[in-house]
Amino acid sequence: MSTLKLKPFSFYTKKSSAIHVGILLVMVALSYWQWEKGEKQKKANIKLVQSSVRVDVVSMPKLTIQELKALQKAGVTAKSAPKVEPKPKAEPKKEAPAPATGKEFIKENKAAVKKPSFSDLMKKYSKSKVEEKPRKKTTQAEAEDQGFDTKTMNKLKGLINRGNKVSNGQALVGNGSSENLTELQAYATEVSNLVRPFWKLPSYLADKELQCRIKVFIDERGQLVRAEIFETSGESEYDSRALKAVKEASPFPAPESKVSNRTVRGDILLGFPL
Amino acid sequence: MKLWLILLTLISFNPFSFADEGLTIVAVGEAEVEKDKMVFVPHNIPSNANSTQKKIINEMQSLFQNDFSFYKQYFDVMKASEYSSAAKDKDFSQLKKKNLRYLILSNYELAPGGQVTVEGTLYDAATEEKMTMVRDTFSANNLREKGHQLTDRIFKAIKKTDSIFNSKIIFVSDRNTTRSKQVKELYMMDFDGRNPIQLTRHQGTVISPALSFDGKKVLYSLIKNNRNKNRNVNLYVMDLETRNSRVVSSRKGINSGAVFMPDGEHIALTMSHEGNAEIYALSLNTGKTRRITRHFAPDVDPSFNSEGTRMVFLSGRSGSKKPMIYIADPRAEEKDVKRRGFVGDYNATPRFSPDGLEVAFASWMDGKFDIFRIDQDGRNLYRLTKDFGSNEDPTYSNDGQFIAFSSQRVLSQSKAVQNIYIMTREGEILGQVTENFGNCSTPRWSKY
Repeated sequence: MSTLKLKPFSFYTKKSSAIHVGILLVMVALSYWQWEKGEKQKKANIKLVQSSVRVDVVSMPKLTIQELKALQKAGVTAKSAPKVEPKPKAEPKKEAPAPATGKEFIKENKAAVKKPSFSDLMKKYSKSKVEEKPRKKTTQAEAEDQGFDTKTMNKLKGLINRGNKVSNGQALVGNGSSENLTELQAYATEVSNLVRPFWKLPSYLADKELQCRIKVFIDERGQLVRAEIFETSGESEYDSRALKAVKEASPFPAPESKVSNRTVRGDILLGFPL
Repeated sequence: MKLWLILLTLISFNPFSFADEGLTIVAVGEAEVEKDKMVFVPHNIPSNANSTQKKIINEMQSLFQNDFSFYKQYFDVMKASEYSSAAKDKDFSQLKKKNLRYLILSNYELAPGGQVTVEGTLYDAATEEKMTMVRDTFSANNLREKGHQLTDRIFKAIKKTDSIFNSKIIFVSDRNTTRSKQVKELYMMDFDGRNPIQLTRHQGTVISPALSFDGKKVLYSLIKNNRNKNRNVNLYVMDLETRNSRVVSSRKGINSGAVFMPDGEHIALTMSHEGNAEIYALSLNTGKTRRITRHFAPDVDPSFNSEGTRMVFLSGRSGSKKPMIYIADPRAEEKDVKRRGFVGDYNATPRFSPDGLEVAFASWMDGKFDIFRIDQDGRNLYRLTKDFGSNEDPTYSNDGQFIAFSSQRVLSQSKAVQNIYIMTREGEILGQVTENFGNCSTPRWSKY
């Protein structure tokens, strides 16, 4: 058995310090690398926020109240033309699937921008103070100009898409969420929307807080077959005003074949006012 | 078994299974309120009336119609001829068929001294009830004043609130300007533009007048026409009964934009004698001042609600150099100051509605001023005027339903004319109330 021959002390100190210096260097390199990565991410985040969020101060409204009213009236008459698609518009649904490329996304965005609904217009003009607008997403080429590489783009894509979601609105009427209704309810809502512009009362009846309900029978072509008082208000003038509104609003758009057997049976009740 | 249970629960919770049975109810919502049709029918006109009496009768009849047609949002004033036979017989079923709501039958009797007695009876055709009866005797001189009082009583019987029919508007006109001398004096007229009376005779330039809430006093600033070196803009107050005016403030610098506070004793004005333009309250009795605003930015143009609990003013304190609308509690210094406006390149003359719920103001847009309206909480910014001239100086009527303003319209390169117009608070222009009276500006509507 040979005894372990010790090397001189200086040998160990040299080796140990070399290892320690090595570890230190590696650590420094690693942390620098981490730090640099973080900085890059930070810069990318700032760029992203700058490009996707813009805070606008809403300017003074251009249209007068009278012009807005005229617009609203025009909107109603356009609506009451008997060409209404029974399907709810798919626009609000487009939020979920992430588009494959940036380009496609922009196409959709443009289509959505092309026809702003009247309620959106009203919202825009009636909004006060400050609003935040999600800005349209930049194309890939543009983005690269701004310093995005494809990798970051892909990473951030999900985030941007989330920003483009349609949020819960505050309007009482609108064109969204109708897919939650049954088809008959959707059709009935459409009918009530068409009747509303014709629903007028003289002031002495408007003050009284009356209510009546009218059963409407609509055939498969949208023609009003019959309308009858289901619940009377007790005031004949009130009832006849409500009936008049229904008659003036007809004909309605043709119901879908699925629900036409029920509309002709009189399954729709219109509440005046509820 | 498990599968069956799951299927069963699924089926029973399916909303369609319920919807297939029974009725679907949808709400149509609140009805739009129709305007009430009203008609003024002269029941009998005495055949032996002399020419002045005939004139009085005709003018009464048109005054009735004209007054009520200001309230377009409530009433449709119909032509008498369509309804006269049914109205004279009080055939309410016939009137109802024509959708008439209010019938005012007027009886005229001749009174001594060329006077006429008018008796107007208001009927509600819907309920066939007599609502009120008004009666008064008129001469050619007091016809309009007394006539407005009658229409106001009829209005009150229907709406249970005050009308604008007894209200007045003060304004500044340059009609006495000559080629060599510019003169702007203060005038007062009925709300419909009739009976203009000249109030001041300074032969100077009167600017920014204000009327007290009780209508008894007028404030105005005067620029004298003499070519004195230290011309100052001084503030005057005039008692409308005696027509005497006196100087209220002649401090150095600005003494303008003064308005009455609702208590009648204090006025609020912008003064710059301490260096920076600030809003002060000043007692007319003692002359003592109290600061309302204290900020290094200028604060100008105060306006109060009729309870005196809120003040709206313009301030540069946002830092953007554009004057913005602020609201404060004027009962203490810098109390509850809140910013209400965030837009507008140059906002001017914010004016509270009497109830303090809305603010009308002028704002520079597309090379001219237009009138806008905003709720006191900063919501619902609306544009009211557009497309015709430069519209400035909005002022709410005593009932808050109307806004008078001055509109300057360019006729040619060297000629423009400024007149006073009235619109509803929804921006529906009802018409011009001054005509051929020089250039009329800075209207202030009485608040009583």
